[in-house]
Amino acid sequence: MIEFSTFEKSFLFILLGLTLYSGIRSYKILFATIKRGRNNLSKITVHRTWKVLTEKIILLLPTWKTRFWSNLFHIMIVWGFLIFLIINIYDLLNRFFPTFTIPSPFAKILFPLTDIFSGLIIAGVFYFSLRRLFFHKDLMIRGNVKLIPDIRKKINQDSAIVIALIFIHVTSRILAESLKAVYIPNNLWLPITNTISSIWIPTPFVIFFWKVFSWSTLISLFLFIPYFPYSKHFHLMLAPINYLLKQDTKTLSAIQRIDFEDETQELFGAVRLEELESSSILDSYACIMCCRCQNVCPPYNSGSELSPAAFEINKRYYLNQNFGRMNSSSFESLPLTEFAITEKAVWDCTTCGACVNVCPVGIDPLSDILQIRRHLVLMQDRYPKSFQVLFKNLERYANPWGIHNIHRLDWAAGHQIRTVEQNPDPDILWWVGCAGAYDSLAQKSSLAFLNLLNHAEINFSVLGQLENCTGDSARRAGKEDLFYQLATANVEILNEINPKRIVTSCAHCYHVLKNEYSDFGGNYDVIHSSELLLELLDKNKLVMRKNFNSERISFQDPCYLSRFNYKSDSLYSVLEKSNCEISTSPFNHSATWCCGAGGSQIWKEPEYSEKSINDIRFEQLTSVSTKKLITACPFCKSMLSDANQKAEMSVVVQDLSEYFIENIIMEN
Amino acid sequence: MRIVICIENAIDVTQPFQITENQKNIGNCVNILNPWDEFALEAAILQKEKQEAELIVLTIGDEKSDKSLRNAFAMGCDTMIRVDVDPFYLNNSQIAEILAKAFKKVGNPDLICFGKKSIDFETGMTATLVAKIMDLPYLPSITTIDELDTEKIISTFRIDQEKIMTSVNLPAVISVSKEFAEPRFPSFLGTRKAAKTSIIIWTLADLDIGPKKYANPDFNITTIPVKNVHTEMIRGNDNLEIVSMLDAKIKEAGV
Repeated sequence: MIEFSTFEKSFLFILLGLTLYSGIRSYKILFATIKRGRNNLSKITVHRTWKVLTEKIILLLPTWKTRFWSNLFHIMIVWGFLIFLIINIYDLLNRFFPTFTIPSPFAKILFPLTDIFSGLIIAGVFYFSLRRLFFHKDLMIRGNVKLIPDIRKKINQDSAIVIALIFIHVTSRILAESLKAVYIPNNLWLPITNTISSIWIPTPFVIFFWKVFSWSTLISLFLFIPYFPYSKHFHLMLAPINYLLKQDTKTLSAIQRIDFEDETQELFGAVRLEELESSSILDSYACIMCCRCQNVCPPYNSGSELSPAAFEINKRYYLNQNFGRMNSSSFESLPLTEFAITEKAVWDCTTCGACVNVCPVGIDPLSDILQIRRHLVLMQDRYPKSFQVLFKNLERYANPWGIHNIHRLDWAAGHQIRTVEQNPDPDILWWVGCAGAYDSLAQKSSLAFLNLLNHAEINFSVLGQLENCTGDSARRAGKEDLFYQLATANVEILNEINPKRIVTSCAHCYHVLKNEYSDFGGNYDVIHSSELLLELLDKNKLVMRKNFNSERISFQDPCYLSRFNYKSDSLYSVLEKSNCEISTSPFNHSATWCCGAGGSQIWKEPEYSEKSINDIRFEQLTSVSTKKLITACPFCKSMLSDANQKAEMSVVVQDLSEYFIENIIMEN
Repeated sequence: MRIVICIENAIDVTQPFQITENQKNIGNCVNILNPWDEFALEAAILQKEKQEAELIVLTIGDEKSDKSLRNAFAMGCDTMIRVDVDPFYLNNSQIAEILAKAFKKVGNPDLICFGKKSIDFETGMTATLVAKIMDLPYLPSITTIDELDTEKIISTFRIDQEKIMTSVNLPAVISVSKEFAEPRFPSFLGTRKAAKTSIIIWTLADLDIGPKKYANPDFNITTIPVKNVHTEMIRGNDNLEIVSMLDAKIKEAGV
């Protein structure tokens, strides 16, 4: 008979019990570890579950942004695993109860699918083992990045173990099924199983080998279950859970407000794993160590010690090393800056969000980095020296330039412009921004936008001396108390004015005003200048010149518009109005490449060992011959202008408003 | 070691201010911790980081000065003392006299630190006068503290391009130049602690100074008239040409 003996069934029962016991124990430890973080996990709803199941598990939508072939093989393995989840339950029941069968219509689908996907899983495993173990793709982390010792060896060992277990499990099952088919022929379409089966000669050895392969199928599964939480392949389970439990936020990597009025609060920011949010600990388990984040990280590509991938990998291996300890509330983990990321790397981040955007499993290293920055600044008073001047200027003059507010409107001297005191009921309140008011390059953009507004006869006002910095630089530099101070003051002024709409040309001001002031009681209708330009062109309040020469331009998507706020459509729609030819960089729209200014980097000296971020971005944008480089953020303009000067190129770097004013009919 | 840092709640002259109509006072002004004193604070805090030291920040002023005191405390001081007198109508000698009495009451400080001058009246006299009254050695505008122990201080100061290293016995008075080090920004936890820490307030009576000793002097406040400065960059092919052009210009201007 081709079935397990009573002894084998009893043995299987004991093994199953042991596996389940050890599995449940591991998972309990794991979830206790995750719960040690500050609880920010979302509730699971039917809608959310359906979305995760379809988008993240079945279609694997977030993975398709890069690496097509890897994703193709990966999806085969994922689908195969889902099928094996069902077939393994069937196999187990069948070993205990040989007469157990699956209803025919369902069997006609399940068994052929299992057969086909067994082949596809083996093909996928073969592809990934070649890629990982022989070609050493992906895990190329530069030597200057902090990594737990022997991590490459450990990851390769893990990959080898998992690949071996999957290979043994799937091939053993096919072989067992093919041997079974010698005695119990099936009338199903099982191309792989039946082809192999045709080779076997019916001898008593067939039953012996069926048992051998059945046991190796089961034992590989029983070994895999308790090993799973230690492996990076745990992402299979934790990545969907990560998506399920992640809070819905307005934008990418939303920053939590600190309530400074709460005097009982003793901890600000985070520097240990248990001080991070639960979702950040979950992130470490969800990480697939694919290094996609590292590949798109501008500082890493400039030679920095920062690698978001290495950070997550270090977190995960620290958790593995302390499995069974981390779940205890009395255990204090080492500071992240001692094993996961250097302080220098923390300060190199441009907060561009590329890592968060590209991650196929929803990991957010940026929010961890910002939490560490907060902790370093607020709890330890440690930050780059150049930020001293930034903080002083922001505190004393409410702008990073350290120029008194009486000079806020100097740039517009001699031009028609009214403040809210002069025009208290405007249709649009123009938030000029500190760069627009004080930076000589950005002042040109402000003048262009002012002329466009006046030409379109818009009833607008500016805040003038009432305008303070939004606090973006302070917040991204971890100086949350200063951000709090600036945000509270700005919200108070804005709420008093109660603007119908706010327009701004600065991507950073836009992001903060639109998304971050609501935590301070400021809810405004905020638009970017590009959106207003599009509106004015559509309404024919601004008219393009007919004899306008279409030219080839390059466009820099500002991270805080195109990535954080998904505004690239309106940006490109405006550009298209000018009939220009936009030369494409591989990094555009939400996959844009940072100019190097974000995350307060503009206020500190870059210390990268290789090329500066702005030089890299400038090269990307000018790789195709272009006359003009257009952007929609004063900081991008400043950084790219610097790179232009350094490269001694004659490219004209302009803001959208400057570009448009050259091509708008200004005569009435 | 006990180090006292003397600070001033100065008028921020980079911001708008108004001289009152009777020219007796300054109104609508913003007061800040005198930026020059921040260098003195930084110098003292750096010493505290190197060795055991108690940092006492002291000022003369009314409660408007508390903010500056708390800022100094948040940078890294241990105690705040305010002598409750409006120093606006006091001259340098009177201020120095009060300070000297206050330093004595503090209890024999080893080192007394001043900023080089204040940003509002810019006299830069107080430190010298205090040293004179207390009969202590004085090191002006130091750029580094090369050595500091319980007995002596070795420090460097600059006269023109010359760097001079001097050693004096403690107690001593120093004033700190801006070349010393970029002053730190008050820390967040320091600011929190400062808000909860009480300021020790001394009156003139506490310092054994009679209330009527300092009568309001009669003076008027005026601003320095704006100078009409004409600048011109002289360019030439070589130094000789530039010098001869400069010479001609000076002669032409009749200087």
